Amino acid sequence: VKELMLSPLVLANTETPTSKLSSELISISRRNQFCSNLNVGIINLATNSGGDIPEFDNGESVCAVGNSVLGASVLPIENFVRGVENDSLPPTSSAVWSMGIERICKQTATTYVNTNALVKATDELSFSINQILTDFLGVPSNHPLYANFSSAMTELYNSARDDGLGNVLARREMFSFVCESPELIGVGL
Amino acid sequence: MSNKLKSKQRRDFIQNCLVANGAIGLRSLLLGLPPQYLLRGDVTAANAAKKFLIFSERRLADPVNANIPGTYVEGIRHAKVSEAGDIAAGFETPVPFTLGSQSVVAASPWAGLPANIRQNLHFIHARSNTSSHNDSINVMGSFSSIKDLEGRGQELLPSAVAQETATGLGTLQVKPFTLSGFLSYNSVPEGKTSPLSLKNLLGDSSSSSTSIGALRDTLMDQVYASVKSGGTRAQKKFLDNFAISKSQAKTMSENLYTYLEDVSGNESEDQVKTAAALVLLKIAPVIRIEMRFGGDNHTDGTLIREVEETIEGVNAINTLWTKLTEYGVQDQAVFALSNVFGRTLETRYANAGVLKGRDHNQNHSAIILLGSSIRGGVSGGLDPAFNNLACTGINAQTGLSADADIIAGQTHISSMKTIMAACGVAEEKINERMLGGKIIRSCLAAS
Repeated sequence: VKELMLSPLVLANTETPTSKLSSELISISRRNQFCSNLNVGIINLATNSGGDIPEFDNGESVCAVGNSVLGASVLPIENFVRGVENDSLPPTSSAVWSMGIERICKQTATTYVNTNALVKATDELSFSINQILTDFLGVPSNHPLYANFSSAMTELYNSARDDGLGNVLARREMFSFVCESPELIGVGL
Repeated sequence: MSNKLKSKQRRDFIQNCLVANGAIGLRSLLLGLPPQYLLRGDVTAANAAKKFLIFSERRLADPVNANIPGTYVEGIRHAKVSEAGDIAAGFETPVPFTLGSQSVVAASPWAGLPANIRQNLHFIHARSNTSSHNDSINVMGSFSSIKDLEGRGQELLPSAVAQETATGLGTLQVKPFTLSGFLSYNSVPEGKTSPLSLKNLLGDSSSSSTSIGALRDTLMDQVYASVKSGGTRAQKKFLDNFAISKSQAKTMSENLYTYLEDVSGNESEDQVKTAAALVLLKIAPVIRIEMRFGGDNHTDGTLIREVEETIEGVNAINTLWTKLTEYGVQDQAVFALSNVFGRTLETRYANAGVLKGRDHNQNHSAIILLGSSIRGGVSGGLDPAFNNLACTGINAQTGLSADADIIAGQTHISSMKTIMAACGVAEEKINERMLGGKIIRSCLAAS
């Protein structure tokens, strides 16, 4: 059983003759998955920053705020109804899907990154970066991607400030950068 | 070996490479296209004539087949003023008009289309060989008669056309753009975006500034550099697709919104306005839509819904062509409509004296073609041997039922081949991708 569960057929961590032939192993996040991921990340942020902890509602609330509604409206949703069209969902990204993700992330950043929000503009930059990566994204500091993300976020923040953005807006750029990363927008990466 | 000699040999080698295999290297250099692409045989003079396809299909199988030219014959029921009201007058009494050089009679909405549209409007009487809504996908693939790029499985017509025309058209994306209805590409389901969602999405200007946006893309590449270099094929493919999508999204955001200002919903009119804009901006080679022509009208006893939505559907075709003409791209596009099946044509009763609407009909459906590569007219017709309730075969050259060399059962795949030909795909390629049937040359302007 152990060997079976650790096999590439289950983990898909290495290629098999079958996976080489198949078109996709990794899917885009659909609306339910993406919004739920955001919901969980925000709960973690709130839990560790002492804020009001939002309810887990499969991401329905987080994707129903402001421009997130526009973004969510173009993401495919897992809503199977017998006899209606097709029960398969698109696994590949598209321009429109990408725009939808961007809108949701921008809105989420606006809501949760502010002077007195979960990610505070008054905190040290390194603290905010660590908060976004470990709490929101779920990438611990010993993960290989942590250092890459941290350095990219710092560069993005500094460029945004050089471009004339304030402390809050520059942090929002960092937040939405992480929010739109393949860690959150893909399933099985 | 002297340097001069070495240099000459290298020059000879390059020269020989360029002129070898029918100068494929030289052609590649001049055209900026890879040799592999040229060897596929796609690049011919006809390549300049590749056309965008706006393809309408509804799994509800609207009764579009009931009021077209060729249906005003004995035994066919049409809406009556006494049952549906004055709006049905032009359906009860057909109106004469011309399609190209052919004189026909049909319901008044068709006659009311401008002459420039009727010049290039063609109706094919066909049969889809099914009466099940669930065969919608199979009919778009002509029951596996349309093969994928490797000659296997089933590809759907809109996707097959896109695969053959995207490069020639130079579109932003190679896949079709779905505004309504289901579509798969290479057997993988595609997402759909309704016109209003697209408009609203593009109208929101919360994107990062251009410079920060570009930096974000670069930084994201850096974060995932190790995955890109050492990841699995699927991981790399996912990241590449994501990067391409982001880049396409930027181009769409910059240009499309201004053309969608009068889109206010997701109706047929909204879909065709959006489709015309997507063609103008070369977003996708094929735009997949769903035009209403009466719906699944079993219970439409008076046929009033059929009348109202037929008027709406024909108006939408008019709007589509008006928009394409306004944008100056009418010669670069083909419109085609083909539903999963047609509707029954005779009078039917639910109970004694209670009229029914129309049921499913696997023996007759209408395929509509419009475009500069289309010759106005009608191909095929209703078969008197079956009380005019089923389609005849078609003579591929004349379009007539007489001397048919396409049997009734092959009229659908033949129509699909004709759509592909109208989009500028070479006949050799069509026959490679699509099994059975023949191109109906009477439909094509150049034949």
